[in-house]
Amino acid sequence: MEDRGFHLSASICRNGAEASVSEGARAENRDLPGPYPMRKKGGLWMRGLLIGVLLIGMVVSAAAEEVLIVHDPTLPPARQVVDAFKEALETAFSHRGPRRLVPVSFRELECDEAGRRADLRAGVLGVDLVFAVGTRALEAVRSLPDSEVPIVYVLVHRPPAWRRGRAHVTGVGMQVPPEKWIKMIREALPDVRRLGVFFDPSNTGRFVEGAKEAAARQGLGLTALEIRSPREVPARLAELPPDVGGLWMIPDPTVVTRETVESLLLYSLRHQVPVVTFSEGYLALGATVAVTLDFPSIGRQAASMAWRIFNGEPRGNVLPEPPKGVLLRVNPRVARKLGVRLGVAPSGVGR
Amino acid sequence: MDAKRRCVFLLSRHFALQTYLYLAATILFATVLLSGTLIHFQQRMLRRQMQDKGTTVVSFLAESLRLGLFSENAKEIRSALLPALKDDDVEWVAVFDPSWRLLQYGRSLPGSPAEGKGQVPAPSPEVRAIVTQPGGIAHHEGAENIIFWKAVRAELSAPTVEGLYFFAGPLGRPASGTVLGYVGVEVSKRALEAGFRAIVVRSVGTGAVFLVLGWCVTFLVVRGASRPLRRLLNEMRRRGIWTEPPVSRGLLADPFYELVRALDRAFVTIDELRVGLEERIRARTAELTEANQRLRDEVRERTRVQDELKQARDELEERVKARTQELETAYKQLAHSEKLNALGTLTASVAHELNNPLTGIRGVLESLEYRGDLPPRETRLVKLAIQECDRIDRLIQNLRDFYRPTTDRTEDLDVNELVESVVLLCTKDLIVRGIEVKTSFAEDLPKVRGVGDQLKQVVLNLIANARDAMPSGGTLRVTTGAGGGWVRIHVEDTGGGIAEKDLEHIFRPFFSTKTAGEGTGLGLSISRGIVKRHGGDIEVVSRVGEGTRCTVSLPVSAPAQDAKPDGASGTVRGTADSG
Repeated sequence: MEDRGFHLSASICRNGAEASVSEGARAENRDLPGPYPMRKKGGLWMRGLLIGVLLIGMVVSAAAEEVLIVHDPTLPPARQVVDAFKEALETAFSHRGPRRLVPVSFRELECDEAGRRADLRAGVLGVDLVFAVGTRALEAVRSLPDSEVPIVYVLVHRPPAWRRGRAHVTGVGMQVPPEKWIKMIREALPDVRRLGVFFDPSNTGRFVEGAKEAAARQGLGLTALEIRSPREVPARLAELPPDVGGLWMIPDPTVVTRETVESLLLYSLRHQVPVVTFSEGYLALGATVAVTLDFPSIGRQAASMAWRIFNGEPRGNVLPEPPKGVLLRVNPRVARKLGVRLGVAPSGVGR
Repeated sequence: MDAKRRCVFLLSRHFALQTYLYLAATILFATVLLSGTLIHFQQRMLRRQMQDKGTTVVSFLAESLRLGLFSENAKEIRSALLPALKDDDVEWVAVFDPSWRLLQYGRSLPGSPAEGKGQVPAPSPEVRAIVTQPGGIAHHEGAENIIFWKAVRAELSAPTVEGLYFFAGPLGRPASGTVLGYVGVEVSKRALEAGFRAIVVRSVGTGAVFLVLGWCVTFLVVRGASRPLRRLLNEMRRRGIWTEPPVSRGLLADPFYELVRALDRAFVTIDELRVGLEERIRARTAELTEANQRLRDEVRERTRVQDELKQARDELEERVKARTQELETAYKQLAHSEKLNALGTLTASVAHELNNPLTGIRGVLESLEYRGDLPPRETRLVKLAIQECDRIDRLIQNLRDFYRPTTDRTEDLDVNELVESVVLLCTKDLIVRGIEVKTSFAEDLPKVRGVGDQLKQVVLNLIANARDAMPSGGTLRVTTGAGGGWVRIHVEDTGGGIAEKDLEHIFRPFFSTKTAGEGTGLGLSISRGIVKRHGGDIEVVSRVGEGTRCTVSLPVSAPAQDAKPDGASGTVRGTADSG
């Protein structure tokens, strides 16, 4: 029942030829509260008591929860993530009831300029939570003086190993779980029985191990070739067994360079095998399938974690999570040229 | 004579030859200059094209070698070199590793490209420094070739892992990545030299053709130009302007100096002639101006005389017309007077015939009265009958007086008596027409001197006009008065009056507002003439719808005056007041 809460949706991409499938786009909303039920009847004394409580709440707690958003402007989806985060958090606070007249406020800072460091140090004073978007933003808030402010991060490939006092340092990573990868690849390429994948053990060794297990569970063969340098990729392509029906390009900086991508795409073209990648940009270069991140969903997922922190959950309960919103996009023209059958219709109708 | 002609011939030929040589040399110089410039620029353009080609080839090789150097795959490197080696201008291609160790070398040979490691000149430190910079391309030109160098670069890692996800454009930054190796290309200058030779040949050929054509055209032009020169010299010699043979100091200087001198003399002569001609023209112009002025004066005088003649003719016509009109009026007056004269004679005879029985009747009545035996009532009747007879007698006497031909004899007249006699004549007719007659005569009215019957006619005309102006009845007021040496007779009616537009024409003969057959239009005209002859005046004042008032003013008579009235001294005024 791991798939409970996931659903398939499709949309037509910008060029009109690509198809996409979204899975689990709103799973993160399960943690956000809904509106309180209204009581139809009540005594007069109950109404008076309620009004009194409201007035007391207004006087006692009129201050807002304040969130400092530090984002990396060089990341294209940062704006989508921030907007989704703010919208989801405001919605959650609006359902919280009369405890707060001003539920939440936001301050935004960019981390790309050295001059912002001082702003950042001044801005963190008095905030209740820091929302860091990107690795650079997370590194920028690492050295903040107030170590008790919880931090929620997104668009960070490798979650940090450091801790800051007793505060939360948690967030949403970028690595899609191997199980979900394998599942979506099988949906997109149902005829592929074996995949070839290059990886650097120092970067993605654990991920590939998990992928091997997931593939074995789902009946998909996986040939994983270790490399230590990008230069090995073109040469080691020849070592792939002949039954490999597709190449899996994982987000490993040793594997993905300009030349290795060209080598992989050339191999794909010469051997008529599809390339499965992790970013939509490679589809235009010749990749066939891309399992990409749903960035607004990641923003909402981070908002859910922030909401839990504001509600006082202990640090051990709010742990870093993998992204729940994942999109499946395909390039039907490349698939047609390679003679590959797609498991999802280019029109976007899910299987 | 023949010697002189030959001299002219030789002289013109000499001039033509020298001119032709000058022009031919100029054309030759221009051709050489243009051809050299053309060759120079085309050579520069060829060299630039060759450099561009070498740059393009080495850049292409750097891009195509990138994957082979990245994977250190000799086969990939070799296959990347093949397209460049097929170019005829490419001598060899060499690939180096980042430490400038030779990896591959290919030479372009007739047939198929050769492979192996040949003799590749080591790049200089300057070349290495240039190609180490991002995007740098170095070239070294030798005597027979140009060698181009460029680095092969690749991005070996992404700046951040997240950057792998957000890739949206062409992969990596090849101009600034890690150096994978170097590529060198030697491009032969054979094509450049061949192109240069072709340019030289074409330019020289074109220049030669241009030169020959230019010389031919120059020859034709000079020959054509020397013909009129020869004719000019012959003509000069024939006219004696120049007769000397050519001397050594100038080709055509002497004849042309002679020609200039002859032209100077000719211009002097022309100036003299021009001056004399101008004097004659000036004199003739003055004469013509004077004659023109005379003609203008004559024309002006003739025009003036014509205008005067025309004016005189118009005046004459006007006078003839007026005189004709006067004559017609006089004729009509004469005819009317004749008719009145005849009527007067008839009336006098009738009155005379009536007077006899009336005298008898009166005698009888007087006899009856003198008998005294009649009752008083009958006696009164007889007296009444006698009074009526007296009245008839006065009436007849008035008729006879009125219609008696005028005697033109002036006398002192009692205007009241004169007016009363006329009113008496008209009273019966006026009463029958429903017109009430009111008379008012001034007492002690001075006498006027005039012709009585004529003045009666005037008063009768005025009363008749007043009568005709009141067809439905009215009041006729006849009054007399005096003052200021004048005796005035006023005839005033209560008729319809006279329109303003007609008032100024009422004294004009034959002007009448009455219907045709009722009036002659001569009454007022004749009356005005009579009054004017008496030195008097007639004034008419009329108001439309209220009536008309006519006033006859006559001068009071002088004691010794016994002459005919002279109308020349009188004035007649006709005024109207329609308001």
